[in-house]
Amino acid sequence: MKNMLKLGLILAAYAVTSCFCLALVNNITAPVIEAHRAEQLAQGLKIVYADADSFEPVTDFEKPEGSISIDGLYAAKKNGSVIGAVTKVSGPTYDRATIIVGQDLQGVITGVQFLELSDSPGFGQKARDPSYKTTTGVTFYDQFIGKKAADGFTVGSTFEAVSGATITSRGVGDILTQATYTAGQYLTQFGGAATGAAPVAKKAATVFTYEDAIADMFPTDTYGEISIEEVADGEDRDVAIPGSTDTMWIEKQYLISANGKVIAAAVSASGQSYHDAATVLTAVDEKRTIIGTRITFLDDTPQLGMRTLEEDFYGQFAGKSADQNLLSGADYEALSGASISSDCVADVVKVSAYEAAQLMSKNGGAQAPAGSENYELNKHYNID
Amino acid sequence: MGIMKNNKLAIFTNGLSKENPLLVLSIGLCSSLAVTTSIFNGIGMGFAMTFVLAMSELIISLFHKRIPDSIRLPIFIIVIAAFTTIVQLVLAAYIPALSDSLGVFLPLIVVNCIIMGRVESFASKETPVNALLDAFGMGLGYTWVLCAISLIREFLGTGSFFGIQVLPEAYTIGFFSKAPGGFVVFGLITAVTVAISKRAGGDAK
Repeated sequence: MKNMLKLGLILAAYAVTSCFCLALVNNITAPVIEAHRAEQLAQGLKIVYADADSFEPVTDFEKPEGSISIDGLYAAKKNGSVIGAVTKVSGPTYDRATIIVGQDLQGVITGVQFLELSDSPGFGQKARDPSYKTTTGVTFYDQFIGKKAADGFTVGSTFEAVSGATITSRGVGDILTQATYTAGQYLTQFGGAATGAAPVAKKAATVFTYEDAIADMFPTDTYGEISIEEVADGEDRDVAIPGSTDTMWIEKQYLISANGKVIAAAVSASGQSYHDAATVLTAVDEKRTIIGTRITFLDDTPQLGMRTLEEDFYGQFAGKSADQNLLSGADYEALSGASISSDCVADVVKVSAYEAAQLMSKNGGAQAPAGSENYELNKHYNID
Repeated sequence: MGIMKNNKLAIFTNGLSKENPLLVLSIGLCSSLAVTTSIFNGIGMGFAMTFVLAMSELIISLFHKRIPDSIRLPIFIIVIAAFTTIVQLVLAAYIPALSDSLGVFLPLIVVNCIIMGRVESFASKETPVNALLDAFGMGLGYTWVLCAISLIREFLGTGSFFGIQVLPEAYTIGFFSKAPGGFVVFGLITAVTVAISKRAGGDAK
């Protein structure tokens, strides 16, 4: 006991001494680091808004909730009148980034600069590297100049990702969305144009329960009050896969009605995923068009296959016909780095959509076009 | 006296070649492969590491009689972490460009096995002078290998030499600025070292 106390005290003594030394060093370096930051910010402000002659810090803006924080907002002035705003914003990328972004009254980006970025050297760090060029020949951060905030910041459609650093790029897109929204709100009092919709918090990438999945696919705003009826006849059965000895499992069948009329059928199918199994519930309308699909069970690799749980992935199946094939590349886009997982989920979506369309056809929906029962799958389901 | 001197010299040169932490002991590889995309990074990381190693070895050897055996590891970590934080603060204040480009690998010096290894196996048993010599030997041994790897990777990967473009971009091989390229270069340098030391050993026989 006495010995333990002694050891504890010795350890404490070392810790206290270290802390004292650190405090000493920090006292010397803190003002220097602070000065650097201030200078960096001043330089950055000029770069992202070259047209302005002065910047004035603003405090009366709406701070967003969530993981992205607005560290500062500066009104960009020319000859005394506000011509735009610069936002200093930080948020998660692969690690974290602090960015300043300038925009004019029309919501057009005047410049983007990284103040801090702690992502991996050689990958995410390329986002701030002046020697890294996108396919259009400009740096990653300069490609935003001239883009309208209202068009959104989406990897692949409105801007180009850093190759090998998609997560960093997506994070930057989200950070810019938040920054331009906050600054746009502030600028409306100076006659600024609205900067598009408020950034929507991303849905957590998790599996749905059947109940939540249906509620999510049939929002009350669009469909009104719906009633759900389970169709026990045909649940828990194997379904043969055309041209193969393999089967998938049909677990649940529902008919969804609004105003006393059946408007959709939803069927869940279960099949092989990259690891274990994937179960999805797909809803189809009377024209055999996919209303939506939600994953209700998935066992796969975190960061890779599990990303099929993101809305960006499963959302792409909505609007497709239940009778078309869902082949990788031609009909849907697989996740990079998780093509087998993507294919597995797509195959289960295809089978559940077809089965839902068949259930719908027995309840007033369109009949299957000739030959559609011989659909083709990506066929990764039989990997062992 | 002569023997003494030779002994001291041997402690110093030990880390440079015979027991080079990277090439021979194969410890502390993760950071060395990650940061060696440019010579600037290689030198910076090497010196940051050498500083932490030297200061930690010095302090530990000075106090090793006052460090109870049962809690030596936590104490080592406190000392190493303190010096790593100092390096981080100083670099952020005076060489911000280096601190930015080393990024997360700077704080990770704390868990670099070279430091823990040398402190545990050498500094905690030796005199402060020997500990310092060992630290500088090991530190420089680490630094020169980092420089060698980054020299090759920077030249082949980005076509530059100390940041000056010497090779047109069209002739560069992007593979070398990625992690796998780091492994290949490191492997080749290790192979050459082994070949040379075998030959030298053979001659001695």
